[in-house]
Amino acid sequence: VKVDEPEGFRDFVAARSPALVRSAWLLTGNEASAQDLVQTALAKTWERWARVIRQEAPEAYVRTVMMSTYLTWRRRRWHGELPVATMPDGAEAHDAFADADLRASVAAALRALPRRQRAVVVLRYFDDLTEVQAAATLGCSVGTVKSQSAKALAKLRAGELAGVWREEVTRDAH
Amino acid sequence: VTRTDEHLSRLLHAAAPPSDGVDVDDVESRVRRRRTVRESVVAVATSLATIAIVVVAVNLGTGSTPTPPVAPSPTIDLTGTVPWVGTPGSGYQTPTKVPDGTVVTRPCTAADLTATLGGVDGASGHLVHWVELTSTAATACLLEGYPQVTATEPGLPDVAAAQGSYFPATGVPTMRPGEKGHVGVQTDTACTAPSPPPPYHHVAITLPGGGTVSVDVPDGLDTGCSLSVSELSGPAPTTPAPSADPLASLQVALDAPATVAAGDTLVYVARVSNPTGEAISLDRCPSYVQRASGVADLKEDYELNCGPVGQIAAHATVRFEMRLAVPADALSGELDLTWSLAMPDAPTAKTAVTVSPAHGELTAEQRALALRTATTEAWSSPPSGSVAPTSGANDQAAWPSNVDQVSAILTTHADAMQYVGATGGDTTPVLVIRLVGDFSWVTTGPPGHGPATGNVMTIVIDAHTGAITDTGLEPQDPPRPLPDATVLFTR
Repeated sequence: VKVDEPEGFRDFVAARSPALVRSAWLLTGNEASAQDLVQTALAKTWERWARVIRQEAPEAYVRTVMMSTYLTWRRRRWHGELPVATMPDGAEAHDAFADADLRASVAAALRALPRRQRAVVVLRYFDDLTEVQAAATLGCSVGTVKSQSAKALAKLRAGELAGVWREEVTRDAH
Repeated sequence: VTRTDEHLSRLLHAAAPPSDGVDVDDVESRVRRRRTVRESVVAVATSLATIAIVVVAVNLGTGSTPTPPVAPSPTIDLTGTVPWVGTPGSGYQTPTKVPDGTVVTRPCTAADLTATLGGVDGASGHLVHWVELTSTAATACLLEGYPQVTATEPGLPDVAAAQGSYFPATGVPTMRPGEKGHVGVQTDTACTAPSPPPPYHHVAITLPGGGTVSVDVPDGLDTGCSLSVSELSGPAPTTPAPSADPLASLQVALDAPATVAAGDTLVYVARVSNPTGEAISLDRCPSYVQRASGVADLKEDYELNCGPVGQIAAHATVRFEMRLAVPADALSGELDLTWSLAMPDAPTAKTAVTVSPAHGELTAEQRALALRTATTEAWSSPPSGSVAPTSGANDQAAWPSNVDQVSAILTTHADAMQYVGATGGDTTPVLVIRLVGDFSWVTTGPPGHGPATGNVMTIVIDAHTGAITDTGLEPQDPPRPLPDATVLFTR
């Protein structure tokens, strides 16, 4: 089966997929699943590219597809794969251990949240979407975004992230 | 965005590892695979429909029941219970006569009462001394109407009180033995009289029923402006009157099984006891209300099955069988059951029952949904060592050869988690589909993540939408076998 690559799709993927993979990493906690999620969302977008590009918001569309895929995604359990903190690929030289630690704590803290709350946190605080945009992306009400966000923040503050969060606040104070 | 949010935002940006993004060629191969799988699923679904029809036909043909063994809801011992009838309730019928059947007509006399000075109330220049009248009679009498009140003081002329008071009488007339009534003796503190007369320290109260009681007023009454008397008042109605209906004395407790399956009838027992020393008649048969809240919301009222009972003897208990049909679509979880007689101050009892998922055979739609999902998953999880078909090479017109058996159950998402070795979930109804055969999952990602292989694949899908929520692939033994599963396909 031959599939024709839609016009402009390659450029879009090159420009925006790094950011999408990073969002997906926060959602899934590991590189393989993040790749899987973004590729799935892009594959679904491929087939509607002509219409998506006409609406001039391809990234918002991909993000919406990615979130709905993520929220209904099967929790596949791979043998030999456990979502533990792995050393990042090509860790930078300056403070690889600190990065790895932070990565592990953030991944663990996000993993402790229910999927929808995790999605709200990533959309609001990583992708910098407004509550209205986040609600549109998740296909829920602004009220739901507010409440899920509040619950998530409370849990993050009380949970594994409490330590690094406090450090961040303290660093800020100086 | 507040400062707190900024910190979180910074943490997330620092934590998310840098990425080169995805390769368009990877996306392209997925698009190709999606199309291939979709095409083959259409072909397989058509052939599966044929298989399903054949299976059903065979089962009908043999005359044996195709349903898997169904675990009935647990039951409780109904020995000695009054059977359930299910006559619709008729609400509360008030008792037709008062308990003792007597009507009080006798006015209280001085011989029935003792008088003492109670409290003093004042308002806007009016002052009232309350005289408490306590019944010392052996039978009830009526305390009502205006008494004649005279203030007396040695060496001074008697002062008769006028009738009327700014302080309204609030009690009821009937004075039972020992009960307290009252009357108010009122004076005014402001008037145009030139100078106050000497205080009066004694009050005589002549009752409408006859006789006079008297009371001393130590701080004296200033009769200079006015002296008046309130109406006689019986005991304050704030004293809760014992319920006039003997049925209210009944006590009730419930015996119910710990669990019931959705779609089943909950059979439980209401133990109705008479704690009093006298038999309570059920001639005026009460209705009762059973309310369910929690995972189902029901309110039903029926008439108690009084017929075979007649009365509940003193200190006796009668067990009534009760039934509550739990809706088939009730969610799983706690069902709060409240049972009460339909009357004021009703005897009430509560208990909780856990509703388990509906059991029994899957509906035709659920079977179709499960089969469709199973085929799709089977096709995209080829036998270990082979690769997923990437082009239109599927000329198979039936199940892929790597599938040996497919079975499914209907349950809740929370319950389903045990079959994929996970936790969490909620009460959403799901189908747990289990495929036995030889499967592999190709995973994309860094080296070291080889394909996962296994012989037991479990797929959990939303029973309404068919969306896959969870999957698991196990080498040999699943985390748990599916109980009472409906077998959808066996090679």
